[in-house]
Amino acid sequence: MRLHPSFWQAGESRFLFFAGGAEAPQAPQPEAPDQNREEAKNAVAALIEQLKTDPKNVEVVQKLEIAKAEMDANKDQATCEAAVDRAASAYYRALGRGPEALAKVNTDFNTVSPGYQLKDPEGAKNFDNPENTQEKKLTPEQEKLVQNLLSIVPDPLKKAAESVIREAVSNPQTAAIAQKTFDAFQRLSQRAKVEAMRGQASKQSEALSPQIQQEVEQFKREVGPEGLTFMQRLRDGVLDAAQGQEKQDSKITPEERENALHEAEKILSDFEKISAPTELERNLVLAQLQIKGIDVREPDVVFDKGKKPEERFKMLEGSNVERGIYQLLGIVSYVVLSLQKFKETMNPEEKKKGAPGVPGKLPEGAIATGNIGKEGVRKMLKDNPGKTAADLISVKETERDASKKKIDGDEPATRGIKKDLELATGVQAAEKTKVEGLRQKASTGTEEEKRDASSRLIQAEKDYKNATTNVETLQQQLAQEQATLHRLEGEIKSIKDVQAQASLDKSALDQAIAMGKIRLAAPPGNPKLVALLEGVKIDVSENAIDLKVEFASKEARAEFLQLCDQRNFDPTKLNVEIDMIRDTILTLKDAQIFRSALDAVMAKLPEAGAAKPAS
Amino acid sequence: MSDPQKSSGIPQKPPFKSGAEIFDGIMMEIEPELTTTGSQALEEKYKNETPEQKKARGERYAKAFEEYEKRYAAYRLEQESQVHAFKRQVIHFAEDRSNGDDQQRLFSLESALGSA
Repeated sequence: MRLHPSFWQAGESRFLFFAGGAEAPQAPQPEAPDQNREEAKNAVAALIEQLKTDPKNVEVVQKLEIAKAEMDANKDQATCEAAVDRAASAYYRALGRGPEALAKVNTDFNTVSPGYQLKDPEGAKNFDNPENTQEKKLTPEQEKLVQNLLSIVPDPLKKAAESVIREAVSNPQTAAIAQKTFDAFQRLSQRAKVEAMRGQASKQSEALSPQIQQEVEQFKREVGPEGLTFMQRLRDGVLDAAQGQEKQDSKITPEERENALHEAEKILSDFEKISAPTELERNLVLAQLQIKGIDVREPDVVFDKGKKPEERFKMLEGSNVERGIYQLLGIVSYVVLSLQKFKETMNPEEKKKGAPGVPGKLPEGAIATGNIGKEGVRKMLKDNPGKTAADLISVKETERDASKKKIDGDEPATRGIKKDLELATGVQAAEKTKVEGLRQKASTGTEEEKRDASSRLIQAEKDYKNATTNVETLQQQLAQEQATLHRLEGEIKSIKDVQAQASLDKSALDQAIAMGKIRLAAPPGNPKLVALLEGVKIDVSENAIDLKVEFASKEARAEFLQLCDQRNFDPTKLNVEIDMIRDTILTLKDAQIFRSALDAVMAKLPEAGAAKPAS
Repeated sequence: MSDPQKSSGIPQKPPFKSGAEIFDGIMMEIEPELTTTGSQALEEKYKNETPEQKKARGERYAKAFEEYEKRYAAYRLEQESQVHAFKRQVIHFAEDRSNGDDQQRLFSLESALGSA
């Protein structure tokens, strides 16, 4: 059985803790422990600095360190207790509920936690994160946003989506985790995606290629424990949604297909009315289409008005589960992007602050995708003559690593902006405390204290002001560098995506040509065209975006183009760059169109008219 | 399933200590004077020190706390990993004891994705 979905019931974001017998700890008090811990951390950093000149504050530092350790230990303990409650509650439900089930649960869980008793089995759910002990009540605006987001989610996925949406709306941290996980997941190969989705069910002993293993390990490191939990949740959500549909035909019905295409056309038609859409709006449309089950892995095709609707909107094929995962990932993307838009609407300044290269704090959890698409990659290559896509990736990765180093430092050599900011915030907190103390003494102390405090207050206020300026400067630097880092990561991803797509296009073309040759070899046959195709070699172009179709000779190439022309397929549609030096080559900017040309050439051959496909 | 987490038997909670125990445990190895017990005698011990000695001691303490921060961070990593492992184990513990079986559904998921 699966235990997970029941912990994520929609509409119950409160995490419950139970007194688990004599040894059970008290639930953490709802007093924003993170804030306390952050304050303690900052204060410790500032005080450690002060110790260098005066060791008298040893006890203060000591107390803060102990408080920090205490807070962390309490959190760990609460996490473990919550995990026990969560598992016990799910176990109880799996056993079918009732007094007997409760007795069995208590007996079994006594071995884990002596004296354990599940006191409120029906209510024990939704406490995945013990830090979130307070019910997060949504504001009316947030509630409206949740309802708007849910309105576009297909019914079977609503339940799984609602908990994700509610939590992401109320908790920017969840939104950030969702985005980070989504971005990392999208970069994986299909096989690695399978492994990542299998999560703990993944069997390492299976014959996975080292490359896939490496990809999955890298993914795990990248997203961290929170991201993995998030993935688990998606998986369970989809399984839950798929439950009850298992006996249904997993194929998309013609009606579903028609509805999805109709909706996709409507979404695009609305989008095309926007005069100057932003990247965010564009990505929102892609996410909406993904939710409808449309394959958006080639955004350029989706947005190409010159193409027919059936070319632009292809359904993602596969089983219910596979499509469910794809759609749920679309929901995650849509939620994160909508949150960004929501923040921009609520506070237009966020947009300015969040723009890359503009100093200011990035909105929490709201991260632009940074996807520059195929044309963006092409432009980048054009702007860097002589560089291949691999060169560009290498350059961008070096820049990305430098940017990471700037942010996180490279201790002990360099401290990094984050650490500097942490220290500066500590100093600021210490200066503030000093000012407040002096102000109090200046108003309530003895006459002598008042005089002394007043004389020192001016300098202390100046120091506090300087410390505040320092913090603000570092915050701006951090935001700016984070924007740079995100841009670089987006660019690297785009180049890699385009590279991968070119490789897929090459395989598809190779296959199409092989099939064509078989077809043309069948009676009555067309030896001339077979010979023409025999000499064709497909390769990825030097820029790693386009494909090269190399013919055996200049004449063969001319003949192919002529055949295209004769078969009413305009060769200019091929979107080729005629290479004047290597005149046996066609450089294709669009492999799909070449395939159409190939089909046109073969389909309309008089001799091949009676031939049946060999397959 | 060959998941090692599933066959690990009864999950063991990581040991929990108080904040002071954790602090003293780490600090004792770095600078015993700065433990909760050691620090009580500092005033008496250093009542006659010169300003230079005081400064040198302050620097020593600052370094000690910086070292503590590093070791505490390592301790936290270890602790978090233990908590994380416990969370997984306790779920598997319940799974192992439940009558239901989701292997079929997992298999369906894997097949569905694997055929993509």
